[in-house]
Amino acid sequence: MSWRFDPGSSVSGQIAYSLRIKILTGEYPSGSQFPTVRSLALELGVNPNTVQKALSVLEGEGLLESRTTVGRFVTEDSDVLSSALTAFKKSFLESVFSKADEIGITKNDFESFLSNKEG
Amino acid sequence: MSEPILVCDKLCKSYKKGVPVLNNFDFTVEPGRIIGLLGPNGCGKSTLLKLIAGLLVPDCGEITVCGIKRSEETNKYISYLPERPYFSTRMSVDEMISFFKEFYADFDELIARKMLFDLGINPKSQVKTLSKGTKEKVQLILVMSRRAKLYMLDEPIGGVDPAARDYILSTIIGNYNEEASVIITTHLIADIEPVLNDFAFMYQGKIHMSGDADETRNTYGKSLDQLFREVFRC
Repeated sequence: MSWRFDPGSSVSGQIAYSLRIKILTGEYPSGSQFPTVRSLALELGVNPNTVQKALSVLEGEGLLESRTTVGRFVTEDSDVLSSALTAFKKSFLESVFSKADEIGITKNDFESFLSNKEG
Repeated sequence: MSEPILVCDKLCKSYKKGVPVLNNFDFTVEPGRIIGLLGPNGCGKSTLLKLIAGLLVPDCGEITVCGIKRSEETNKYISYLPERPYFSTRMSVDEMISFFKEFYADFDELIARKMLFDLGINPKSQVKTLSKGTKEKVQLILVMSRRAKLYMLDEPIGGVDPAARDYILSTIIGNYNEEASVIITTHLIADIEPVLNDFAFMYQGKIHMSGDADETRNTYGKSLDQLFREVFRC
């Protein structure tokens, strides 16, 4: 049911973000039919217009394609998917590093963390 | 642009001379919207809903529902959940269903029965034996089972447990259609804000601030709940 939203930003943005991850990680596979606005709205406990807005964003990014009368599908264009994944990883890492920087975690800290984890 | 569901034009109402509850109040509701009417105690929310439902008569101004001036006629477009229960406690839930069926041509018994079942309410029970929260659920079920144009829910989730709250909100979403609108008043803003299209903060009988719920969250970087606490800080 309804998840807890981060209070500081738009709900549609947060829904677009979480659906984007599900598309990029293959939880919604390439070429598959996407759930309807109404079913997502019910599942998430949000206004259908808000879901609609989130899906338009994903359509704008080329991740979803709307086929008249049939519904929405995850794109089959592997170039679109892979470049979206690269872009997503980059922006995710950027935010991780900028947060780390704020609290004084250095490159050395990262390196020793990674070597411990691997070792 | 389709016709607004509701237009309030310069409404005034006072219970005591010189103490206006609503003061030149303008308010328009477009179809297909879920609107949160939010404001501190005594700001006029319930009075507004009572005026629209025809339980009170405005001192001045005009109310138009679906293009028709407020009258007996407009009552059939409005499904209203008042802040206090208005049912006879001598009835059983089944009798209340028959009562609604008889009273309202747009009442859908199947929907009501499904919701009662989902919430585990026995239709044979006498209303007076139900807990406060269960009574509220029954009322809300009856109100939401009408195919109305305008639903007005005055504090619909205040007395019910969080799980039932989720169910009620999903009922409101599931019931959503392009032709009807829902006005919800509540103090539990955090619970309902993801469901809203629009919000209006009411203060001293006027709209203090209003807009698109999600855009406002984005603009202010705050939830409506946080914004409310700031705007109405005591």
